[in-house]
Amino acid sequence: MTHKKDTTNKPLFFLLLLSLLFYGGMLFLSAFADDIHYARLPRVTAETPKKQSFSYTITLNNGASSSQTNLFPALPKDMVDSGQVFIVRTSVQDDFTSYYAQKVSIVIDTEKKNDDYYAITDGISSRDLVILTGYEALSDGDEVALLKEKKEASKVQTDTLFQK
Amino acid sequence: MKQNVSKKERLSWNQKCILCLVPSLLGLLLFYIFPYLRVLYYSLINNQFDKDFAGLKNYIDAIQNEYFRLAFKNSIQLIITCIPVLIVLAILVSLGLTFLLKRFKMVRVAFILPMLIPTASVVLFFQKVFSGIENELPLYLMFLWKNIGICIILLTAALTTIEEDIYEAARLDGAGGMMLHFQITLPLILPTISFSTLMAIVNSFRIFRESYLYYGGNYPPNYGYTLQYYMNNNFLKFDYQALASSSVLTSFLVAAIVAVFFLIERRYQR
Amino acid sequence: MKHLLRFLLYLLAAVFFLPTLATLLLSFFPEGELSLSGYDDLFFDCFSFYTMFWNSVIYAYAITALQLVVILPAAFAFSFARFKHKETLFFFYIILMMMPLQVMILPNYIGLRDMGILNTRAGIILPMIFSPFGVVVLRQYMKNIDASVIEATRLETNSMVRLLLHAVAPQVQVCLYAVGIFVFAESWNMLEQPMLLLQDKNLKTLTIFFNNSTSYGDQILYPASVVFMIPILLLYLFFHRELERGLTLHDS
Repeated sequence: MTHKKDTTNKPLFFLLLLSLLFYGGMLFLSAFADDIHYARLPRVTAETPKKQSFSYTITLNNGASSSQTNLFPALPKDMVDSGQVFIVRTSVQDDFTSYYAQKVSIVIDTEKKNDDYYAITDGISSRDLVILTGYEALSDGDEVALLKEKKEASKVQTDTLFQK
Repeated sequence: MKQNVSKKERLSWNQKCILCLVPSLLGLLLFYIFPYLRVLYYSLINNQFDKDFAGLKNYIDAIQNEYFRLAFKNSIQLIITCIPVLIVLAILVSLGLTFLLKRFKMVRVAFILPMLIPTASVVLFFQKVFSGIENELPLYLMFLWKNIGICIILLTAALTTIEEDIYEAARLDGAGGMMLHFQITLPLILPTISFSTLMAIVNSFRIFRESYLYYGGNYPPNYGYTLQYYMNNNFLKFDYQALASSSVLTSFLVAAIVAVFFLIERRYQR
Repeated sequence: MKHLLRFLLYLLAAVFFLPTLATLLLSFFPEGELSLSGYDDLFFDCFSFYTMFWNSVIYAYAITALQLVVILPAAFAFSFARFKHKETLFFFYIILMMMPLQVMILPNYIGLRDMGILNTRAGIILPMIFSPFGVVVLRQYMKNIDASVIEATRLETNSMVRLLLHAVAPQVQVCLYAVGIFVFAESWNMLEQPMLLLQDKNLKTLTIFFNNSTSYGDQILYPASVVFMIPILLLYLFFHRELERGLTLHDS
C-alpha cells in the first residue's frame, strides 16, 4: 500500500491548530458567554414610584382659592421631559430571569407643582418598577441588568447583578 | 476444529473469530432485529389493549388510507424522477472528472462535500432561493445535491480501474469520442452503476430529514409528504397499528428493490 | 469541444459549491451589511446553542469511536471465520442497512423505554453504534487484506485484541477513517432520534436548534449554520484522502 501521510506535516499541524482553536473557542464561549452577555447590558436601577409632596390650589365653595400640599405619586422631571420612562418587565424562562425595559406613556397633572417632580395620574401603577437611573439610551424592549444596590456610585461597578 | 484440552477450555481459532462477531450481532439483535419483529407483531394485532390477532386488516387499512397512498405515490415519484437524473448526471460528471480534468482533483470536492455538510446548515439557503416555488422541485434539487457525492466517489473509482490498453485497442479499431465511452466504458462499469443506483434509491427513502427541515413541521404540503411523514405522524398520534403496518410495507418495498438489484447483478455475472 | 466540456464541469462544480459558500457569506451580512452582529447575537444571546452544540459533539464522537470498536472485530469475523449461514447473516446486515429509520423508530422507542434509557444520552448513542453500515463496508474492504500478516501475528500472540489492533487495523485503516467520517456525518446530522427519543431540552442536539427556526431570525441562523458545518469540515480536511480511497474497494 502506498503511504498515505504527507511528506510534510505542515497541513496536518495547521489543521490540528484550527481544530484546537475552534473547539477551544467554543469551550471558552460556553463558559463565559453568559457573563459577557450580562456585562454588556445597560445597568439600571429601578424602584416603585415614591410619593412626593406637591402644592396645588383648590377653589373653595365661596370662590376663594386655597393652597394645599399633599403627597402624590411622582416621577423626576428630567426623566419625564426626556420621554424615556420605562418600567421593568420580568421574564422567567427555565431558570433564567431576564429583565426588559418597557416604555410607558404617562399622564401628568400640571396643576400640581413641585420643583423636581411631576405628579403622575395615569400610566404606571404603584407596583411597577420604574427605571430611575440608566434610562438615557434605552429603547423599548431592551434587556437590562437590574442593580440591587443604589446607594453609592462607587459601588455600582462591583454590584451583584441579578443572577440567572 | 475444536481441541478439547481437559483442564482449560481453549477456543479454537475459528471460534475466536466467531466470537468477534458477538458485540455487533448482539447490538443488531437488540436494537434492530427484535424491534423489527415487534413491529411485525404490532402490525398483526388490532390494537394495543386487546392484542387480538387481526390478520391483514391493518395492511388493508393502510393501503386504503389516502395519506398512505399520497406518501407512497410521492416516494415512488421521487425515485422515478430523481434517480435517473442523478445517475446520468453522476456518470457524466465522473467521466468528465476522470478524463477531462486529470490534473485538477480539487473539483471533486465540490461534489463530495454536500454529502457531509449537515442538511440543517444549508436548508436556510434553499428556503430563501426557492421561497416562491410551490412544488417538489426544491426537495428534488436538495436530494440531487446531497447524493451525487456518493455516486461520484464510486463511479470515479471504478473508472480509474479501467486500463488504458482497452481504449488504445478501440481507437485502433476506429472508434472515437463519445461513442468510445458508450460502447466500452459504460458496460465495464455497469456493476458500479447499478450499485450506485441502489444506494441512491435507498437514500431516497431518507429524504424525510431534508423535507422536515425545509417545510418546518409535521405536515408539509402535499408534494412533500413522504412515507416517513406518515409513519412519524402515526407514531406521534400513538396509532401503532397504522405505523406498524406502513413500516412493514415500506420495509418490504425496500427489500424488494434490493432483491431486484441482486438478481440483476447475478444474471449479469453469468 | 474539450474546453467547453471542461468549462461546463467547472460551472457545475461552482453551482454545487453555491449553497455552502452562500451560507458562509450570508452569515457575515446580517441585514445586508458586512458585520459580525449575527455572530454576536448567536454567541451572546443564544445560550441554548452551546448546550446543543456540545451534545451534538458528544453524540457524534462517541458514536463514531464506539462503532469503529464494534465493527472491526465484526468485519474480521465475517472475513475469516467459518460458520453456517454466514452469507445469509451478512445479507441480513445489508438489508437492515438499507432500511429507513422510521421503520425502526417506534420499536426503538419502546425498547429503550423498557430498558430505562429512553430520555438519556445512552438511548441515542447505543442504537447508533450497532448500525450495520460499518460492518458491511469494512467487510468488503477486508476482502483484499493480506492474510499472511494475520498468520504471522497468530504465531506471536494468542490475544485476539492484539491481533486485531496490530495485524488487521493497520491494513484497513483507510477504510476505518472513511467509515468514521461517514458515521460522524450521519450522527452529526441526526434529526429523528433527538426529536422523538429525547424529552429533556438539555440533551437535545443542534439539529433541533434549526428545527425551531421560527423563533430565531436569519441573522442568527446563518452564523449558526456556519458553526454547525465546521466540525465535519475539519474532519473532512483531515481525512479527505482516506474518504475516497476507503469506500472504493467495494463492489456488491
